[in-house]
Amino acid sequence: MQKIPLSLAQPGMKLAKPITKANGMPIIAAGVELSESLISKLDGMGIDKVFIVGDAVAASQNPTERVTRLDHLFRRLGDDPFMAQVKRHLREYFTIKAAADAAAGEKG
Amino acid sequence: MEEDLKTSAKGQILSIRDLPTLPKVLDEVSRLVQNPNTSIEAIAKVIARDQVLSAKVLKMVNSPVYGFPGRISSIQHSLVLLGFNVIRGVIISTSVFDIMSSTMVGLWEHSVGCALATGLVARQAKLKDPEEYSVCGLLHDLGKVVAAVQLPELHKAVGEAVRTQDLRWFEAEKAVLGFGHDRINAWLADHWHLPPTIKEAMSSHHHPERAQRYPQHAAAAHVGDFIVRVFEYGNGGDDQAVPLSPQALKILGISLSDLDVVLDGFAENLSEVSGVTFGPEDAVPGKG
Repeated sequence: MQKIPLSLAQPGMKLAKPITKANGMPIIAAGVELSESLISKLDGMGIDKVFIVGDAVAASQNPTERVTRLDHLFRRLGDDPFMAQVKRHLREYFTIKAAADAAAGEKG
Repeated sequence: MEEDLKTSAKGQILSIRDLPTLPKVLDEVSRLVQNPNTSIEAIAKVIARDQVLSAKVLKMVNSPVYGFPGRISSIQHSLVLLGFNVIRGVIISTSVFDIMSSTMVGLWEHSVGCALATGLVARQAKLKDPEEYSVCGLLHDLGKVVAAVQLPELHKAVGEAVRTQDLRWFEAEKAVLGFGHDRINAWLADHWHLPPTIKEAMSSHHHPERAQRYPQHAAAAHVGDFIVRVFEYGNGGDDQAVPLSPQALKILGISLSDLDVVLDGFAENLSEVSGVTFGPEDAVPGKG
């Protein structure tokens, strides 16, 4: 299961969790396959994140994954003070992104 | 011995005048644009004659990389909006990668990702004509593909050095060949009469501070390459970050925190951009 922004949703993806209103009332059940018209309806309702089945969006975009890869990517650049600063900056950036994603996930 | 190898490798690449056949259209179009009286309609007509090529160009220019997603309906329209240099860069890259796609797996994705990132960097730095910067990103590693085809044995040796000595591809090239794809890029740019802006980006993206005339183009491609590697989208030949030049940020007039907007834009658009591939199923023109 993966939570993705609605902008990345494609027809054919399946919902892993129901889509609910702010008050928790389900609008669309889990297991429903997304269609073009359904996606634009969701967009109209102000839904900006959906949970989908599988791992449709590549690891490249997953901020948690990015944080864990930084040490590997920068393994030969650690001695350079500027690159150390760049790495710290990226770590902070992706950590905040990951936390924001997690928070949005809890809210549903 | 080693010096001999370097000299002959260089000769082999630089002496080859005919790269694996690019579409005839490109020659014809290049001839046309040398005449300042040639109209956009005339150029568009020549490109549009090759339907497969046209379909690929349209698919490419309609991706979010160029800032007009899904809105360019014809070759003529694309020439008006993006200019001939951009369209020519797109034709060259798609043609070269089409012929050589299997030589370096992941390099096409790396290049398209770099095009996206470089364009975003140019927008963030408020540079004029960001589409031209996107093409700089698209073409920044073309020399790697060409070297792979022209010098298969040495290409293998470069890959071996990357794996066994934990080198970045560029370092391994210099160790094995005595020069990097930046040099090959400069030659290719001359060979295809690419504009000096794109040539400078292709030849100086590893050292933008050494760029002579167009440091902004080189710096944007440099930062674009850095970003696509941070996201590990595609594969430029090794799995390491490249040293980011502080000078590049200075040249662009942006700070490290300004890159956050670029990172945001990259993550948002990546999946759409990743649809820009040219498998055999794409050989039918989608729209006219």
